[in-house]
Amino acid sequence: MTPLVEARGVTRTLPGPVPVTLVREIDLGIGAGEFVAVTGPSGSGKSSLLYLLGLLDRPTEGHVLIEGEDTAGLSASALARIRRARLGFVFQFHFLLPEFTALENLLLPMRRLGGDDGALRARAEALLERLGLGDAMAKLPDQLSGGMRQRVAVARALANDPVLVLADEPTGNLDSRNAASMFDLFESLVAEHGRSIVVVTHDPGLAARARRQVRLMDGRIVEDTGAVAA
Amino acid sequence: MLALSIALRHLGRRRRQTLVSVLGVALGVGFFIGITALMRGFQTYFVAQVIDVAPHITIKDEYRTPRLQPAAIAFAHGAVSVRGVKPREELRGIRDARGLIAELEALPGVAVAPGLRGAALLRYGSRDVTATIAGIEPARERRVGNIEKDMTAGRLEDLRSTANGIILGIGLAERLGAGMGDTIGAVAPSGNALSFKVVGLVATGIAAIDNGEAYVLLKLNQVLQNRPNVINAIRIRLDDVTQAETLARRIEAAHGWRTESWEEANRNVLSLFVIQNAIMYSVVGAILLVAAFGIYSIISTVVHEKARDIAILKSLGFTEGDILRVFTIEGVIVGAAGAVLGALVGEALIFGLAQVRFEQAGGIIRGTGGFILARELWPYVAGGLFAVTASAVAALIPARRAASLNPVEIVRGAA
Repeated sequence: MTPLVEARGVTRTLPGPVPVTLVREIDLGIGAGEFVAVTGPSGSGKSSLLYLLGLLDRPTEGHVLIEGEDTAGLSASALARIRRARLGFVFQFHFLLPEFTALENLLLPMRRLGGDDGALRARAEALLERLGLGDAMAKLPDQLSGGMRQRVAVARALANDPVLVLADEPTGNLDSRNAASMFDLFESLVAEHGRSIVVVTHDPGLAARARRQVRLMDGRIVEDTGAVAA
Repeated sequence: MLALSIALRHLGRRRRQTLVSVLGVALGVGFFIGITALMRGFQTYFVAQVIDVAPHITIKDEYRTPRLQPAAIAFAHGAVSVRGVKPREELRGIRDARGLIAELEALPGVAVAPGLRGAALLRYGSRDVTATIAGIEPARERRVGNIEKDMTAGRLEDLRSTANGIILGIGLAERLGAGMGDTIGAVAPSGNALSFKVVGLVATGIAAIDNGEAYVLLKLNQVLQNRPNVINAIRIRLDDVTQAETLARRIEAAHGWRTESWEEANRNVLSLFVIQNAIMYSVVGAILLVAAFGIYSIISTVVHEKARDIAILKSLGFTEGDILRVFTIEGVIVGAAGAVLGALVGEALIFGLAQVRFEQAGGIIRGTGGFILARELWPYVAGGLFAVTASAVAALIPARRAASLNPVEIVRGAA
């Protein structure tokens, strides 16, 4: 089976007087319906790997493939098109646009992808309802609690029904109760909708809830509990 | 449009900053409109005055370049140099002036008036004032000049109906201390002297004329100057003023007499206008430029503040083009709002300037009691277009920076 996203010999080096290698020679495939936790100490390249898999960054060497297609030769706007149709991002900070209400934040990527506005709105509302954010819809981000903002951010990542959700320390700023419920949400997304999720975290307790753990050290994978595709 | 809605939200959230930049542009555009109206108003008035009062073309009894000596004609490239040659004494005046006048009058849209202009010393009581005496034919003159309209007392006809009538420029009359009905003496360089009765006063608005010219019948001036039947100036008025220069060149080429269009005659003033305009447009341009920098500053600030949002939008699948569009639209909105508000500022400025009253004593033209303002559409259009263009460019620079921001760096910095 072709993995959803696959890294083949990916190395990313930041240029400079003293070049810094963020990740080196990564081979990693993530299939449909996988819930992967990426762990490792600070500076081990967890986030860098996530950005590379999410096409926000390009590898210095190696290739990133999305559903078997090599992305190396694609233009910036082609990558953007893949991001908005197939991928969803959640970051450590909610990163909602402060000028827009929760509902409008969801509608931004949806409208960019296009479609009948009424239908988009109905879908966004349904999504927020499902995540228990029915009351938050018309509120601006700074009127929401931290936990709710992060849920809205997850909802926004799901807005265009992506095949792969990439989350970078999504619980980093949440208390343990909210963090746990975030992972409940991830589990249900994988279980009910067959999406794949890659979560970067340094909370071992939460990481243990993922079905597959990938551990990084100094930019290399040192442990992978279940390499499905290879 | 998605980019537009994001741009509007950004600006809406920073009302005060947005308002300040809009006001900056508005002031620039407003002053541009106001000052343009002021300058153009004055210049147009001045040109109209000149065109109105002075003839459109004047044919003089002079040659532009001195005639060549017979020896120089005979030996054009000769090695012989003839020294001490006395120029031929010529009888001054336009030869066959009547024929030339008849020829010109046959042209459509052309009115012609002959005249003999000459200096004379006017004397009233103990006051002596030198003046230019213009001998005119009233019937023809009224079709060429505006003297009739500018007369503050008497009628042009009185020159004919009164024996030895004279019309004085209003300033000239003041200098002489003479009024309507007074009899003044005139002595010409020829030695001839005549007495004239003041039958009219004229105020053209052009100081040089009002203070130094007087009008008598052509025949009388020919007697005074002792130049019987001589005409030394043919004045022409055209229906289409813009043809003046062309016709002047044609006449000069055909007949040789120095022929000046109103543009040539007023070249010094018109060239002054060019400098005046250059100064005005650079000052106003500087105002607009400062306004553009204001826009650059606000869009730069927004880009800086919004770096994180830009990263997010990119992670959501927005392209560099989308980002560029958002911030450029912001600049254009500020520019367009500034242009609209600027039109109102300009309108208010023109209204305000129109209320200003002042007395101006003795200039090159008569005081008008206030500013003359040109009401034209183009400064509004030009100011508006400039504002929008400058704003778009001012926004484009930071917008490009915004578009090229690497989302990873921003997200990494924030985490």
